[in-house]
Amino acid sequence: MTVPDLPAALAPHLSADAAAWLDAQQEKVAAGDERALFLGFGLAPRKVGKAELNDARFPGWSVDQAARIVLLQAFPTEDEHRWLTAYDKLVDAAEVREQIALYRALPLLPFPHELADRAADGLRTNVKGVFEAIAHDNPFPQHHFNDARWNQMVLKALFIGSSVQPIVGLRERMNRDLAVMLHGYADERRAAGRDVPADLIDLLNG
Amino acid sequence: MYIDPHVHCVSRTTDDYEAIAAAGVVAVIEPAFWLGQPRTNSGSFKDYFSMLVGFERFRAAQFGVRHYCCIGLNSKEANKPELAEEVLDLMPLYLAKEGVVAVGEIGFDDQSAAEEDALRKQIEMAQEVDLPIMIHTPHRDKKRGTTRTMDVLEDHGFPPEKVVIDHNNEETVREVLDRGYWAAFTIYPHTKMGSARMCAVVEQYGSERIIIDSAADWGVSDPLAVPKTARLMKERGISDAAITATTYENALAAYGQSGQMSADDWLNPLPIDQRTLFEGNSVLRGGQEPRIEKITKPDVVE
Ligand SMILES: [Zn+2]
Repeated sequence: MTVPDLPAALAPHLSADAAAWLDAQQEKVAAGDERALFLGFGLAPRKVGKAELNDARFPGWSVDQAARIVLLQAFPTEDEHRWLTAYDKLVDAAEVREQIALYRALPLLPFPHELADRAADGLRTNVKGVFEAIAHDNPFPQHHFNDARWNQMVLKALFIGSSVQPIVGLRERMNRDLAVMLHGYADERRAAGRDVPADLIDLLNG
Repeated sequence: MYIDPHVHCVSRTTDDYEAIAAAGVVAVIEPAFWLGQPRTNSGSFKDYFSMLVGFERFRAAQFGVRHYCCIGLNSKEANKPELAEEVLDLMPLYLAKEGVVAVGEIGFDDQSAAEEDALRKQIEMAQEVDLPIMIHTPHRDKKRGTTRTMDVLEDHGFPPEKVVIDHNNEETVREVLDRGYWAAFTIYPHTKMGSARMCAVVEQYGSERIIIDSAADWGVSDPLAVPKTARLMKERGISDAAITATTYENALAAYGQSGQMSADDWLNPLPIDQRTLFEGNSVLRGGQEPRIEKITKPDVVE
């Protein structure tokens, strides 16, 4: 998986002031300053605005979300435990748009094996936007989820009325267990006199 | 269009959200407060603060209501010094978050020394992050407690135009306004301040710097208190301008000083917010005219 260059995608959207703020903050974070990371994460929208990034490599991202992740990418990774602890603190205290940024960024972050557990936690949300930050237009689940996790994600997308088309790797990751669950879900809907979503019919027809 | 600048939404049901949205409430502010059951560790506060900036915002948005919050250590729980210390340490993590419009609700309950200590520390925090303050005035010994709160604020040189003093009554309003603060009134059913008394206050003091809220929580309270009081003001011949000021504009002006709340949030939401956070669009439903719709529910579950 190639990782596109987020700072380069962000740069054209920043005013001189915003760029100077981000540079200074990045420098502190790169020196391992956890407080600068937390503070910068919260302040990002005030400093860089909330315009859309409009970059096909980062579908649905906004400028503030990109700035937040640029800061997170600057945090030193030599100490895995320290990095993951900082990530967890950010997630624990995150408001909705911060959560979305943290999960959208999964493919750009280190320690994917450890982050897979956290992504699965994130999918337990009731907030549709947060669920979709992981499930939609995000290559992370395809590469780092086992079948059990993958299958739950696809089924939950249908269940909460989200769409499955934007799930990256939907056809490639189809498996026998998932097919059984999808047929079961369609049967359950029919038995309850409810319609079967078009997305699901498409998927069942391969 | 109304703003209810004091509601404890985590204690309310989806029926309440439907009802306030139908009555024209476009935005609510949820101050951090006591939950009825005392918390025994700071982790409970951390999760509560996360709830206010996280899930509750989302839940409100599903009904087309914009949700903002205040972060603070309430006066009751300031009386456990060790716990208080830990909670005050947590607060900086939340104060800079989007949608946090003030430090609050803070102030006095028993008027103890520990309460004063927590109040002072939080006034300093508000100065540091440049946020307004929402003050909870004590229910017992209210008049003296309100005066003492303003004395403490002035001791720190905190600008009164950035402070909303809440839970006022006929006894406190004069001094609060004279000293330059915003004076909020909580409409409580049956006891304390009711809609009729509120109308009398507006008739006597006008609408400048006066704010009306419901403070609806887990106790007997009415989340429709703001639109209901607006309707009564209209019936009693209070001007539309005064109604709009006390039930919408003043709250927006006071808490808008945070830079975290603007009418664009509900009138012209950013596409990025609409997609990820704010799905409804409740505006343009009420105008200035109080309109409390009766929510009719089918008598079978569909
Ligand atoms: Zn309250």
